Amino acid sequence: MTCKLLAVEQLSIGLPAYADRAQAVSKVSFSLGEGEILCVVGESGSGKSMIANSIMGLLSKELPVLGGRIELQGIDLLNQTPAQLRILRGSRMGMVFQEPMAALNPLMRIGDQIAEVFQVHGIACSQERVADLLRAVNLPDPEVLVRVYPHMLSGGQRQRVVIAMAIALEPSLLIADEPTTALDVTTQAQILKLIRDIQRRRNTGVLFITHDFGVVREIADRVIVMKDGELVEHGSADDVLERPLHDYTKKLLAAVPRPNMDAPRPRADRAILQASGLRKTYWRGSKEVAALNDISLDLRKGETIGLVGESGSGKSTLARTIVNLVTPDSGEIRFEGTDLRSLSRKQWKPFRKRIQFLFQDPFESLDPRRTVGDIISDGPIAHGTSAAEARAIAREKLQLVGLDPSAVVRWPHEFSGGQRQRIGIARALAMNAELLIADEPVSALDVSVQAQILDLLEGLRDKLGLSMLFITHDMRVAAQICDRIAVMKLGEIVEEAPARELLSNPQHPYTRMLIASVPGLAAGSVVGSAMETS
Amino acid sequence: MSSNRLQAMPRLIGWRVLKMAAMVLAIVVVNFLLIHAAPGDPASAIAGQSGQADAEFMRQLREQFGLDKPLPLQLWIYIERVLTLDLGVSHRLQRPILTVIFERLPATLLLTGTAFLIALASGVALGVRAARKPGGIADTLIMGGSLFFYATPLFLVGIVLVLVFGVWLNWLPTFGMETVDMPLQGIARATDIARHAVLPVITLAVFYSAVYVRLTRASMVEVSSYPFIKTARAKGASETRIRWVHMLRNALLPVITLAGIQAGHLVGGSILVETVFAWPGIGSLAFEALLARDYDLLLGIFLCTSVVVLTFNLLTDLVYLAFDPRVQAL
Repeated sequence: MTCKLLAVEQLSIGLPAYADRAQAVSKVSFSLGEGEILCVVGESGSGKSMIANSIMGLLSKELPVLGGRIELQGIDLLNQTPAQLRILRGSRMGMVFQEPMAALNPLMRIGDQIAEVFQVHGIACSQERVADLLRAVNLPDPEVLVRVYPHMLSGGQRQRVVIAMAIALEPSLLIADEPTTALDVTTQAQILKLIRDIQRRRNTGVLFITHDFGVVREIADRVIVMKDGELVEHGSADDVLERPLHDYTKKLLAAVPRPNMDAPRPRADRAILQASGLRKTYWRGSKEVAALNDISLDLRKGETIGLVGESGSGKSTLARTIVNLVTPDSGEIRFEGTDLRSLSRKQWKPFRKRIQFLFQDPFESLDPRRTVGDIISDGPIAHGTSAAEARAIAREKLQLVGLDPSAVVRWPHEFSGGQRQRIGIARALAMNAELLIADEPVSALDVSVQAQILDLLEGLRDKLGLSMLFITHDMRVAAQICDRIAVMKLGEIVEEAPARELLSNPQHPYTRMLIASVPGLAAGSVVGSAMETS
Repeated sequence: MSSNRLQAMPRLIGWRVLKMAAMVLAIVVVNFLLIHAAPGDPASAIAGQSGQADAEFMRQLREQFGLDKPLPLQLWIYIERVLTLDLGVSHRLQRPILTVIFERLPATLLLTGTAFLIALASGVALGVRAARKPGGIADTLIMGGSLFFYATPLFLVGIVLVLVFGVWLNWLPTFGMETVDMPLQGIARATDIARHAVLPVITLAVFYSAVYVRLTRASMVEVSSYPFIKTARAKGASETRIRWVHMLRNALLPVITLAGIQAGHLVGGSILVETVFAWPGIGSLAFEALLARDYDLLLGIFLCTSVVVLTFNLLTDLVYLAFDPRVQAL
């Protein structure tokens, strides 16, 4: 049995008066042993980050600790003076954050930021020591990197730098708050491996906060599940993942996207969207970069094609090219046989109605100063529908997406993320769209909400005969909703096949790497089981 | 990558200077046309002053100043002269304009430069102090004070200072730049000038400073919520270190932008204060030239101020380039 490193007992954290519940965290108890990885799982607002911040003493003033104890190696953390806590931070406990892009000071060289950890603890720091740390987190060319500024590094590299700072003084506790959420899936796999390596090599206890059960499966020894500030389940990773006791855990696990096991839907003969030889290049400095390189796509009526790729692969550029927001250098885009590229602005108009877009960020894609009714009826009005009629359409479509028609008079900020995405769908449907281009429509949503939106899209697709181009970075989501999957890398479609075929028998090495990087795969993941059954 | 940035510097600066030259030429043309669009001309002004205005005299005057030629030709002659750095002769002062401007320039630079530096230093310091605890007592006092001085017209502050420190307390001189009837040398003269400068400098500085206080405070509060501040705390850095090393440098970026804009107005922006305190600088010169319809002198001053503005724009961009590694181009 491992030695007890961290003990949290009956921890309660308050919320400001205007919040929707009294306590951010109420009476949570758990412990963490040396060399152990404990995952804290929960959806947004469950209080999981609060726990991390309270241990580090980094809670803001509006969130007071109301009661309980936090003990790190016998030190009562809640009864330390700020100066004592400051000394413990960095030396006994280190922390890694969610946004690697913003977690480093943009005006300070990488080497100086790492050396700062030693300086503030009064420890002499040599160049070699910094370089050693960079090597420990598998960064290349440490001698060059120390002189570089954060903006010159990729997200994954920056996260490695943050990890290097967190482990610089060999703390016995490492807290990682969603450290891979903002990263591409292949980078995520590398960072998870790095954290596991560090934990094994140095016997560090890791408190790992995540919303992703795939990640939990990948890394956790033990798991606690949080819901609305309360701990609802606590156990070994195996028990919680395979034999969950609490209904909420069961619900979360069921919401994890999994490949569609139904018989493949027959493919229609008629194509709705055909792209061929699409090319778009940008000049970056004196270098020509191909955002789209000879892209061909054949989307049939009623079909859903998933466009899967990492950031920068060109999948959003392709979507924007189809709706004429980006002009391709060459190539052809046909919608039901009509070449969209040769159309004038006026000739395009009827097609705008038939092709609709669904955006990623439900918080930014709705105008905050307009009512939901106005947002939805704008499109029909622009295409000549009378205002009263457009209103009626808005109410009807809201009902169709599972919202109350009375929402027409309300404002976007009154709705949750999932509800806003429903409004976005209603907006697209109000035009009687035939082709829906969905650009990462569920990426910003919690897993249970994500499952609901995917269900909704699936239902609407069957009911209305919608064709969909579904862009996602998440192979699991694509596997659930798409008939076919196209894998994009550096502006090219490297492989395109029926979803099940692509998952069970990937041809291209990059596809194989993407599938292997899906978290949770090794321990019998959902995609893995699809590969076995097919 | 950062070395690339520095290698490209001479070329970038050369390109910018070229663009500046084109800009100055455009400014010369626009200024010239603006002035000539205004009713009245030097001939009528001189005629008015001399009290006699028969048509023949006016014609002679216009011929003397070249005002009888068609406007495009006048413009062409003016540009030719500007290109050879000959700004002409002030008909009122009967002296070369360039000489007059260079005589007055040091006084203005002394006044505005000092005020600018004091405003920048005090504004940033007070802004940082106010942002330490938003809503606290220090914050309320500092922000209240800065709002007061920002809202009060410049000349009013000047007049009140003159009344209090000059007239009632009789501590400081309120007029001119040095004591005229007492020719002083060396340190005695410097002290005399400094005593004369106190009130106008303070008048200008409180106004500028108010803006820096507000901007610095807002910027510090904003930066304090950035994730890298939390990273620094997680390292165990002290609050003082976080404030001065991590927050301030990032918070200064918008302050630099504003300071660059204000520095551009160091020469042209002090007309009011120079007039209130009879400070013999460019501002009061411009004011006099305007009243006397001394076109050529006015055009010379405009040219001088616009060159200063453009130069400080370039300097600001260079400072920014040195300060923020993310900036790649000028």
